[in-house]
Amino acid sequence: MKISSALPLRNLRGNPVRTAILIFLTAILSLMIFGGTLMITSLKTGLHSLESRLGADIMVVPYEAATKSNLETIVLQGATGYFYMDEAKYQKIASTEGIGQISAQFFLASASSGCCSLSVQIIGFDPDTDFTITPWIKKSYGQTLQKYDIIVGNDLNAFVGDTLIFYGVECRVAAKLDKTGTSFDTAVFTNQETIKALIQSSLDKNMNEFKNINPDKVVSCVLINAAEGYTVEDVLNDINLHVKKVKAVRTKDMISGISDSLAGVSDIISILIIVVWIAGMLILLLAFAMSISQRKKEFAVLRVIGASQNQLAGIVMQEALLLCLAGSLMGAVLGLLILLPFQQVIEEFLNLPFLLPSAVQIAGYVLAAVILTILTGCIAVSVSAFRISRIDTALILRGDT
Amino acid sequence: MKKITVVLDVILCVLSALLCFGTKFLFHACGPKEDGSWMACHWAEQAVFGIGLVLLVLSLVMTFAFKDGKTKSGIALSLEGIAALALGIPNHLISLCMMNTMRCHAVMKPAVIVISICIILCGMAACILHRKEDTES
Repeated sequence: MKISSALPLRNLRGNPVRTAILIFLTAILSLMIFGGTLMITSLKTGLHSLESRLGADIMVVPYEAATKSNLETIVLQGATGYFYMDEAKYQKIASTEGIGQISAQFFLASASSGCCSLSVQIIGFDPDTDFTITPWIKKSYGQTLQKYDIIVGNDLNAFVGDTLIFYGVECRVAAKLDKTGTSFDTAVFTNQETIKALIQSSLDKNMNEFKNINPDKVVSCVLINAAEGYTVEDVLNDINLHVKKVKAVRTKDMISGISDSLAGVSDIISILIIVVWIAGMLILLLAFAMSISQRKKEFAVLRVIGASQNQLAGIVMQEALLLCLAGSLMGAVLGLLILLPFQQVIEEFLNLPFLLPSAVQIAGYVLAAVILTILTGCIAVSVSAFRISRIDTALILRGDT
Repeated sequence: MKKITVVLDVILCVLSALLCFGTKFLFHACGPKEDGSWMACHWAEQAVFGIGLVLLVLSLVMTFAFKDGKTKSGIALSLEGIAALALGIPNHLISLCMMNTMRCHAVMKPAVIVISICIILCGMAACILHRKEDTES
């Protein structure tokens, strides 16, 4: 007997409530698989991005800055702040044995009052020695920064050519960085010439917490990479022992707290995905079994008019395939509508670095979630399909189930 | 067919109400500054509220005032255009705050984008189905 290929679709349209419930269930399953996977990947990408942005083995800061714990809030959490130490300390640190690369950075926080366009962390670096910021700035801006040129993080609503004012000094936006998913997205970067001029201007306007500093004679922190043949521990201990009033910190130790939190969140999401998948599988199994059980007479009639056992199983499988395809696509679209536009809210809620993977990777996750949901649905319905293909037509039509 | 179009009309009413009152009370823009003045994003919120109100009135009129399929289809088409306008308000037609981490960027803008897209898609479906309904009748 030839059965119309449109029969499974007509069956689904014939009972819209049942179809809607089954589509909803598969959509939830797909949403959890896709959303959960994307969340875990984004958190891992964010942490990797943070690790590569820090880019140095050791960070040396004034002792008060390290003990007041404002270092981590500035470097990792995007809070604004600044601290300074004498440049002589930088020279002394540079003479320590075992230093491969060394560069100073300068911090300044702009104010939210009328003198500044916005309140942000301004980070100055020395283009001649810098090895942490320059490599990723080069991806967005290949030229040399001129005086009063700035590069803005991706989360700042300023664009190339715009002018931002800091402490009354007009600065030109030369480039905008790619998204990093870290606190650097809300920072402004510039060369040491510009930041020294900005620090001087903040001093002139009496808006700097440090009243008696000479911008040409201070640095905020020193970043160091250990030379080959020396361990990070050796260099770190050497600096902490021999240079007074400074604190050398391993950058890996700084992000260990974030790594631990991320591992915890990832574990929770992974467990949730597995639980929802198992629960979804069982619910679909029951839902399909109940739905097929209610339709035994319908299948018995088809069998009487000549449909083979395989054809009955085929109809059930095709219905499940259509349901799962629609549901999984809906779930994936819903996941995209939640995660893509609201990524900033998620980042703030988790308080962890959060960076979405590339569009190609996201498309891959959508495809994987759709395939996995369809497979789950097909496995769940296969039991019912097998049972319906073995029904005793006479018993069913007599009303004896 | 009739049932689906009624459901779509109701969904459009709910989405329009959500865009209108949600922008004002749920996913509103940043609050006033310390001196009491407003940032630019407040005016984007006001604009979306106004557009949401127009969408709500039109969707209610479409659902309850008219029975003619062609008229309903025309109103659904206009809803799409107005929702597209709402979509363009935050940060395109009216600037938002300077940092993307602020509430107007993090909450209001994505909420307006998602709801506007939903209105456009439902409006499109309603427009086609009302037209089809009219042809069938």
